[in-house]
Amino acid sequence: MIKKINTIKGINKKGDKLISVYWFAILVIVAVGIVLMVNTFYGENYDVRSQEAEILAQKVADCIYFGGEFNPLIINPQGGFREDFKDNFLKMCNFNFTIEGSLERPPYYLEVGFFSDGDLKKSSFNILAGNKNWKSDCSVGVSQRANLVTCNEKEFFAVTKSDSVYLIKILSIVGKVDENTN
Amino acid sequence: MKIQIKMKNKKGQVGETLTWIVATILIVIMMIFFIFGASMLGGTKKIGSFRPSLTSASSFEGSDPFLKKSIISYLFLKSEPKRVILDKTLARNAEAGNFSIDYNQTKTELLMRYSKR
Repeated sequence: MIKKINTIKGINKKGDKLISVYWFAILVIVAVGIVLMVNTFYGENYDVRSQEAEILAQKVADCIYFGGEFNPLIINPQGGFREDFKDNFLKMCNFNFTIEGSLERPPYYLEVGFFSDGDLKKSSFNILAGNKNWKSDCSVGVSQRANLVTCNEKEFFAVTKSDSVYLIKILSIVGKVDENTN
Repeated sequence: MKIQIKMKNKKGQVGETLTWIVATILIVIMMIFFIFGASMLGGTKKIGSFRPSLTSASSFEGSDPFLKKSIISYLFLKSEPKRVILDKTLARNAEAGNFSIDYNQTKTELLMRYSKR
């Protein structure tokens, strides 16, 4: 009788060991699963290019037209647009597109068009800055748009002191494709 | 007697093993499902589509600066015919849903703000 009990106990002990190993294995599976889940969820990038492009457009708009008045550096006293503003646009609006310590082209592109109320088809004045190569990507219609640049088009009406109305169209593009595509 | 106990034990072991095998399979399936779900939700996040309450502005402040600029231009215009045309154009754009905030409300608020000055 004593032998029998010993035998049953022996089996039970073996079973207990097996269960312990099993529980350890389950624990490892669950832990690995949780680590994988957290890593996949938080490890992905946040694509903030659309916000960046919108902020860029807002900064351009504020530089050109603020508080109901055109920047005095854009329009000369005769009411015409100043070419030197066009040439030094980035400097005059405090933009810095250059990447320090790198010869890479800037990941930004800006295009501002001034359309007179008399002719909304042809712009009277244009400002271009940044990497022109990005522009062609805006018109590409593909399902995986995240793999391309982010384009943002904004427009608003501005009025000069001489009561001329201009429709100002701002196209801001943010590249940074490599940083935002996995 | 010995055989009976052994048989009972074996049946119990088989039952328990089967239970745990099914449980393990279920745990693994659930883990795969959750990992897949996490990878789907975690796919390159775009701020804005996640929390619309942060981006869609129901209040007047801090929203659509381009519309505000256009309305300010409308308010600063001296020529009445040009004002009418601009107002119509902006109203048409508002109907087309080009603005992120309410056009009429913004116009009224800006009008009140500038008339106080």
